[in-house]
Amino acid sequence: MGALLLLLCAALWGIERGRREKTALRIIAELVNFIEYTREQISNFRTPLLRIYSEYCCEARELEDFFSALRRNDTENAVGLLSERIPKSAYREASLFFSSLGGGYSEGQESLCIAAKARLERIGEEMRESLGEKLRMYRLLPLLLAASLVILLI
Amino acid sequence: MENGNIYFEECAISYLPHNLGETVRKSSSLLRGSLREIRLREGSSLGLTAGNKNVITSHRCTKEDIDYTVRALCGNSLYSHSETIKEGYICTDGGIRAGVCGRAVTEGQRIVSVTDIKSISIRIPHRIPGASDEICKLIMDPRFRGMIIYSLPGGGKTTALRETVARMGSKPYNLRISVIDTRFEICGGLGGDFTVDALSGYPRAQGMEIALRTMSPQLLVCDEIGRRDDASAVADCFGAGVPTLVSAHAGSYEELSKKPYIKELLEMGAFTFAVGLVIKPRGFDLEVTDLLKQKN
Repeated sequence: MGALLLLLCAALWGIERGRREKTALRIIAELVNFIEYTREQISNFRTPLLRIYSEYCCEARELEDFFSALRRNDTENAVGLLSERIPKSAYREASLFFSSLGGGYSEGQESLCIAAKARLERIGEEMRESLGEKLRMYRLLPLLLAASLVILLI
Repeated sequence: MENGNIYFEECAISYLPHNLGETVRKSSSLLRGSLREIRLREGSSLGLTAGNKNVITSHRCTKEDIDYTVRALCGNSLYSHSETIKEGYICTDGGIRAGVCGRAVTEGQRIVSVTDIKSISIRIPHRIPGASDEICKLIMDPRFRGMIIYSLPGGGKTTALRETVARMGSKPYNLRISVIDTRFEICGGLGGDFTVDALSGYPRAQGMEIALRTMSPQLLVCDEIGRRDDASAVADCFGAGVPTLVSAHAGSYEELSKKPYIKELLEMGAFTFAVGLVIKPRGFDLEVTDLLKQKN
């Protein structure tokens, strides 16, 4: 019974890790979409940030609280919410982007959007490439470890 | 209405960094309701203007104070105010206007952008109900074809226009008024339910032409005219039989009547009255010139 529980826990841990990776990917993809939307709004209409935040239609459920915080003009807290959900490199990019957003004229802001989008896309691409491998590892490695432990204990 | 003025003051203070806001609240505690301007200059003391009195506080403004205030005034969207910053001001959604100056980047005679903002002058809009009673009476005069209000800068022209618009655009007058609010100053601080169509941000001449063609106004209001195209737009309105209420910078009627394009309008008879203003805590002192009588 103990052995079964150990194996089950290991399998669940692996599944959870895999789920987090997929969520991080979805969040990064949504951030990329948002950055592109922001760039278009700034470039074509000079739309103020608060209106951009309130009019943007977020498709990722995982970012609902993030956009709610942005709409309250609470950028610091909004970006803080991302810290546990995306890899450190992506979080650094997002922090840099949101802290600089709104602080310059349109040309500078467009460049900021283009650069941030490119960097996040690259991070997302790298994550996507290694996702299959990681998912296999998250499924197998904990199970193998748990099985080894069970054998050792028996 | 003092509460209304305090509301505008609090709005203006909300754009300042916390410590600066507290300094203004403490310094202006005796002057609440009469605060006209808050001035920030990098490396200099924070200045306040209440009534006609200038007060210097002990707080020295830093670059961070200026940057924070500019960003707050722009609603954290500097890019959406780049055009007005080039013209030297930022207008907030609440109808507060701030003059800004820094280092201009130019191409020939054209200002491309303004960077390193060093000074900000936040002007606080005021409502002085009843202050426009005399002006409204003149507008209701059967001979009325137009009016030009003049004063020195800070003399209350915009306040007079705002009060007149609020009065004439509500009961019992309910005139259809088109306001060419180029700098977002007149209608921003208006609030309430008025029969007013605001053409916000339109260049004056273009705004007057559009209002004339599309809004069929009974009174057309425009602040600070003075250029050739402004004058020709006022002349067009006069020709179309739409009375105008405009303002211009001048210290006296003599000075006003010497201004090149305004002189032409006066000679043409586009205005029935010229009204000189001096703002008082509870209204204005008016110096009315009846141009029709003068002509006859």
